[in-house]
Amino acid sequence: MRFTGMLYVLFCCVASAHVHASNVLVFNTTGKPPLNTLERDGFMDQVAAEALRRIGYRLETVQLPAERGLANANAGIDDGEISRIAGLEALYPNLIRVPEKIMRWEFSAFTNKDIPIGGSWSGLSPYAVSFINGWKILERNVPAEAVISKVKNPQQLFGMLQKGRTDIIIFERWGGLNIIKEKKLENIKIITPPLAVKNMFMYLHKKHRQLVPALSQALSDMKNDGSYQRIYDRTLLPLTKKINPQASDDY
Amino acid sequence: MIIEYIKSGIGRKIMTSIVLFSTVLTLLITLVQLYRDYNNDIDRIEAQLQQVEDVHLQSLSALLWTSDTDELKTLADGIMRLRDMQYLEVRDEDKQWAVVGAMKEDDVILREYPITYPYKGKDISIGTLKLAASLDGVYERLYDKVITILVSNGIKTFLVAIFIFFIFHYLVTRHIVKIAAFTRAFDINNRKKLVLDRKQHKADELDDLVYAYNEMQSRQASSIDKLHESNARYRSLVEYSNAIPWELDLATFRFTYVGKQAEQVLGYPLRDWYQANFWVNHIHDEDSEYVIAYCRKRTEQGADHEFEYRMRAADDSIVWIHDDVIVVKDNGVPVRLQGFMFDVTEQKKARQALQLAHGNLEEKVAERTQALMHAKDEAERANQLKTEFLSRVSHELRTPMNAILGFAQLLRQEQLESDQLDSVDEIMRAGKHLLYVIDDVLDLSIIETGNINLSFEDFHLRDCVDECLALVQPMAGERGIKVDVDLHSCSDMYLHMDRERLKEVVVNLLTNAIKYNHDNGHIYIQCEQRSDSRLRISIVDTGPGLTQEQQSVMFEPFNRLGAEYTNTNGTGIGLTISRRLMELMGGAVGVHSLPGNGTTFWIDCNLSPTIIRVDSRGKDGVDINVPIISDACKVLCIEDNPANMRLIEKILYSKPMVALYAATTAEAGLELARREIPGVILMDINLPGVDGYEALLRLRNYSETRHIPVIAISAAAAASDIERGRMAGFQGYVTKPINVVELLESIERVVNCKVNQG
Repeated sequence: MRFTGMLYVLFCCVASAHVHASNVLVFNTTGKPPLNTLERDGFMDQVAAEALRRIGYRLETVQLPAERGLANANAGIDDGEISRIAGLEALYPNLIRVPEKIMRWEFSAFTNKDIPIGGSWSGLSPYAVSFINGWKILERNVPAEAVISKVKNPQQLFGMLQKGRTDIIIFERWGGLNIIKEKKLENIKIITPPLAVKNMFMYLHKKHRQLVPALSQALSDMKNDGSYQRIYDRTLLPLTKKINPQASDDY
Repeated sequence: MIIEYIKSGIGRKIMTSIVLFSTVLTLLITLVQLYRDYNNDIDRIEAQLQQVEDVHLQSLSALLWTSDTDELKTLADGIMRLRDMQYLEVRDEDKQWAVVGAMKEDDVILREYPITYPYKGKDISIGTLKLAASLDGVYERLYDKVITILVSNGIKTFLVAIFIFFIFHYLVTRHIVKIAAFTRAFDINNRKKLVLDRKQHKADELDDLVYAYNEMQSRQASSIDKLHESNARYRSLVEYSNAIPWELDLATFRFTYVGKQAEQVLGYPLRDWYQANFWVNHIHDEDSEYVIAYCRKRTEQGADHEFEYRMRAADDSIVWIHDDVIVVKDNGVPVRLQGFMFDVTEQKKARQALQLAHGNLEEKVAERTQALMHAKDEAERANQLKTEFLSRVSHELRTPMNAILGFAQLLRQEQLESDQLDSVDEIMRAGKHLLYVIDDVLDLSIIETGNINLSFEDFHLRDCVDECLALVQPMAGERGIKVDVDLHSCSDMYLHMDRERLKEVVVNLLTNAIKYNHDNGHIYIQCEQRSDSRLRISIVDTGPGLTQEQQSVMFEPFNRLGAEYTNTNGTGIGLTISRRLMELMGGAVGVHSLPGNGTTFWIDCNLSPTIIRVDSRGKDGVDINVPIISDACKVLCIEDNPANMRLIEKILYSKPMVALYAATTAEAGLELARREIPGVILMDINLPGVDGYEALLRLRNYSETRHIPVIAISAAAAASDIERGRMAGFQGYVTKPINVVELLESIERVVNCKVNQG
């Protein structure tokens, strides 16, 4: 019995290894550290990998430009997208959104001055505001009265803030915190509450339609069983400690 | 042959000149063109840099503001693709954001632009753009252009020069060579006409040259003929003249040429003249030293010279030579002498004789001059004696005339019968005539002896004539003669003469015009400006006129032209005096007349060089009323002549306000003067013992009489006498015979008394 039990465990391991080796899903990602990394140890990398693992698949990611990623996923070249806003299925009919959100994006204002903006778009009017060119939500909502500068990448954004060429920069919360940490930037704080919050979802090509419920359930299970919180605590929470102790830890 | 021309001909020079000129011109033009290209390139680069600043600096600013390194580098690369760009650098205070190219130290145009960005209403300096444009490309293009221009022009110039050389040779040089050869072979005795070997063509400069050459050849031949003829004539003239032509070489001191005449003049054969030192050896011993020294000195100075000396002839006679010497120089150094020798022996002898005669003549002239000087002294002494005699005669005549006319004037004022008045008038007329005669004679004697003093002044012509007219108008009125004055053209003119003497002349001429006129006749006074300095006054009468003979003698003294046999008064010396006076004043007097047509006397006067207005109207109109001196004025009269004293008494008798004190000697007068202190003293000059001058001196020495005015009364009426009196200190000078009015006016002038009308 004991021998039989040992053989069962061995079989499960081998079988599991086989399943993992043969059921690989390739997901596109446009995110930057700390959410996505080339080493796949970003927050969303780890969450997506764990969720897929729970339904018997192994995650592989490809870094592509935003439009190219959607096009590839919609064409079935790749298997899906790790994080996109809701509603893309209307534009890309071959993609199916996983109902359980993978995380929440916060569009936050950073500054090195003592500026009260009250968490509203209109509060930005008197200031020089910079953000990355092409971010539609910002282009729509930042008031025209503000002195607006648009740049190509977050390094430029934080460089302008450092050189005093802008009063406020607007960037995704965790990406901004990660840059502050990596560049060891001083005296920059994040203004709360965030200017906008968007829920982000995983998308699967329709050929994997049957996996959508299981994957949604797996994500829900992770949030319920604390595994999602552990990944958060390991990857994102350290970024908030020095910068802004009062920052929300909601995800 | 061609090769020779290429080596040394005109063609080669032209070819060389063209090459040189073209090369220089090409270089100059190339330099100008390169300079312009260089400037254009520099301007283009500058414009390019300016365009970068205008177009890209703003973009660079935006990219630097957002630190967009990639775009910044892309734009920098784009800028650097522009022509001649060498280096670009964008930096802010911290770091270089973009660097493209490599910086060079030399041959670049470097510009640095500040980069600013508009932020919150201000331009903020955020960095600099450094741009360098290289000039290497400019230089390369210039170099390529230089090489192209020089090579192409060099080839072109060379080909053109070769072409011109051959053309010039064909058209010109070969003909010049022929003309030179023809000229070289020219023979005056075998004249040929120059003709060039040319195809049919229109006449040009070469034909003109050939024509001119042939013409010159003809003229030259003609000139040579004339030269031969002239030479023969010259030789003939030289050989047959009295002058001996010669030429002497200074190196050997031998004659190189001597005219044939030399044999005749000195008697030596001509060949002897060519021996060494012939000339020196035949100069007279007494002249030798001087002549040789003089000639050597002048020759060393290089100066032509002439001199006279004696030479010994072959027959031992002495010949005087006049030598004219020309020094001939070579490069400024005398090399030979040329000249002419003249035999002047006869002239020398004649001159010596003349000098001898001249010496005698001078002695005779000196003797004669001494005699003349003696005679002149004698004449002057006689003249002086005559003057003194006339003066004394005048004085002696005037003294009694004083009494005659004075008393006659007083008598005229008395209540007389008609026949008595006629007698008195006759006495006065005769007395005045005698006085005129005396005055005229005295004037003439003064003028003749040159003792007259003239006082030149500027005065108005019209005033002077009017004054003269006033004097003669009564005389003219008596005979019904009308005097017309037409001085219209000269009415504003001024004369520069002795006014009183001119009046004397004019009055004299007017008086003559009245005296020798018909009753109810006319006299015209006219004037005419003859020059800038000369004015003519003409006095025209309507009298019987004068013959030529009369006109020729009428200015001689005492010549009355027969009037002495008529009732017309006159002395016959008025015109003589007038002429002398006018001459002394620098003027002239003359006459025009025809018998039966009246006479015109004219005088030429000097105009004043500067116009001076002289208001002489105050002198017009002599008041003939006798003024009366009143208010117990005391008058002291010192006079030795009883008649004259009585005359003074009579004159002042009718003036009750005057107290007259009389003294017959100066001493008595002085005593009276100190005692009575009179208001005025009338002093005779010619007093016995102390004369008038001495008495005046004494009066001035007494303090109580020093201030009393003294009027001289004297028969010495010459101008010099009057001047002497004034110089001595007399306040007035009244001449005898006494004019009553003049005397009273003189008294009134010096006495501070109240004057009433009598």
